[in-house]
Amino acid sequence: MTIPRFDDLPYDALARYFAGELADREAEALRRWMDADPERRQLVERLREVWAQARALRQSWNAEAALRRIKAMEPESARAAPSFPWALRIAAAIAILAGGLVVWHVVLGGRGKQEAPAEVATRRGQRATLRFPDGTVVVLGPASTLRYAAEVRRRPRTVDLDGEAYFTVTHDAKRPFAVRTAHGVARDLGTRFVVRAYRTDSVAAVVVAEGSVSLAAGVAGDSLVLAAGDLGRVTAGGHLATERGVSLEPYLGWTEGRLVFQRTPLREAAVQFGRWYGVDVRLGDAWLGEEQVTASFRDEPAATALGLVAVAAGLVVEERGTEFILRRRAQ
Amino acid sequence: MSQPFASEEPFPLLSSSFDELVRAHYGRLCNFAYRFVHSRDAAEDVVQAVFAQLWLQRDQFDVRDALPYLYQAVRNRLVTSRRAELVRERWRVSVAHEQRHAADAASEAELSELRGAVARAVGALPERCRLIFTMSREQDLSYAEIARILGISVKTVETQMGRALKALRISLADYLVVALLLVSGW
Repeated sequence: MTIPRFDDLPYDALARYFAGELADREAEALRRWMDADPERRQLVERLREVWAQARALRQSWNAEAALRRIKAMEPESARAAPSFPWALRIAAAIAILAGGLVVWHVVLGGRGKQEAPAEVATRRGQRATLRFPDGTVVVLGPASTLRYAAEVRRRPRTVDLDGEAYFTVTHDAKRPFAVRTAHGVARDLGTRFVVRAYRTDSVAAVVVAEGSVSLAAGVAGDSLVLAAGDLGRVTAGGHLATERGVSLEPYLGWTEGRLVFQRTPLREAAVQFGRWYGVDVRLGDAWLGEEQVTASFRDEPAATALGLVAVAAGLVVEERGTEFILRRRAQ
Repeated sequence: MSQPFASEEPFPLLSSSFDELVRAHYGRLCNFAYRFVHSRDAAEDVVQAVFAQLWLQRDQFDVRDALPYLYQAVRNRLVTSRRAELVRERWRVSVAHEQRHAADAASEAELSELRGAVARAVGALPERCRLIFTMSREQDLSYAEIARILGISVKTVETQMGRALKALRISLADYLVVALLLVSGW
C-alpha cells in the first residue's frame, strides 16, 4: 500500500469543512471528493477525530461564580487610573502584516497624573484601531504614535500624531477635532480622512474621503479647506498645496490591510514598504528613486511582494539579512 | 438633570446585558488566558479583573463590538501581569484515565492516548498558528470573529487553520497511518 504524502490534501478547505465554515455547495463538493476514494475517506474521518480531540482540550469554567466575584470586587487602586476614560476604552487590534507573530503592543502612557496624556504607538509592521467614547475611530498606521489628553471631555478634542492615521470623526461643532503634527494641523469638519505625517518625511499629506478638513501649516500659518477627494500637502517649511480628485486607494488601502502604490515614486514606495513590513529597503542608485511603481499587496510576505515590485520595474532584489536592495538588472 | 454628553454613549451597558456578556465570553476568555499562564487561578484572576473594570465603567462602555475589546483587555493584562511570567511553564496536559467497563477500557485508553497526542501536537504548533487554532477549537470563535479580534483577514485565518491541520497530520502521522493499515487489512 502507499502512504499518502503530507502535502496532498486540501488542508484549508478541510479545516473549513470541519469548522463548519464551508458553504453547502462547497461542502457537498468536498464530500464527493472524499467519497471518490475509500482510503481518502478513511483518512479524512481520522483527521476529523483529531480535530474533535483538539476541541476536547478546552476546560470548563464557572461563569456564575465568577459573576458574583466580579460584582463584589472593589475598584482597583489609583494605578488602575479611572481618570483615563479614553485609554481604557481602546480596543486595539494590531496585526503583524509581515507574517510574524501576532503582537499586541499598546502603550498607555502617563500613569498616575490627572492631566497626563495617553499614548498609543505601533511598531513597523503593525496597525492599531482605537475607538473613542465620542464614536471617533482612529486606525493608526505602522511606525506611528498617537497622543491624546486623557481628560478629553473638558477640552477641545486634540490629538498629536507622528506617523500615519485614518480618522473617522464624529462631528461636534462645540468641540472641534484637531490633529497636530510636526508639519501642520488638520481640523475636521465632520469626516473621514487620512493624515500621513511622519516627522522624518519632508512632506505631510492629508487625504479626505468624506466631509471636509481644514488644513493649517503651524499654529498661525496659512490654511485651506479640503473636500472629499482632495489631497493637501504641507512641507516642513510651511508651504501648502492642494490636488483635487486624487485616487484614494493608495492613501486608504492600508486601513483595510492593503499596501497600495499607484504611480508612486520608488523612493517613497521603499520607505512605505519598510514601515509596512518592518524591513529596510535600499535603492541601488539614487536615480532609481524617480521610477514609478504601481502595485497592491495584501498577505504576501515581504520578499514576495518586493519581488513583484522588482519584476514590474525591471529590477532585481538582493536580500541581506533584514535589508533588501533594489538594483537595475545588469545589461 | 441634563446630561451634556449623553449623545456620545448610545449603548451603555445595562446590568442584565453585563451578565449576558460574562456568561457568553467568560469561558472562552479563560481558555484563552490559560494558554498563556498555564494556571486556572491565574487565568480566572485576569479575566475577572477585566470584567470587574468593565463593571465599574459599564455606563461608558459601548457593547456593540465587545469581543475584540475583551480579548484586547485580557491580552494587555496578560502582558503586563508579572504573575503570568512567574507561572509560565511548559504546557502540560493531564489526561484523566477513567476506569470504566472492561469493554470500554480499550477504546477509552486509545481515546485518551489520542487526546494526549493531540495536546502535544497542538502545543508544538508555531505560536501564531496555535493562537488562531485554539481560538477556533477551544474558544469556539468563528473565522470572522477571530479575524476581527486579531485585526487580520479571514483569508489569513483560513490559511493558518489549514496549516494547523496539516501540522497535526504530520505530528500524528503514526496514528493516522496505523489506522490506514488496519483498514486495509494488514
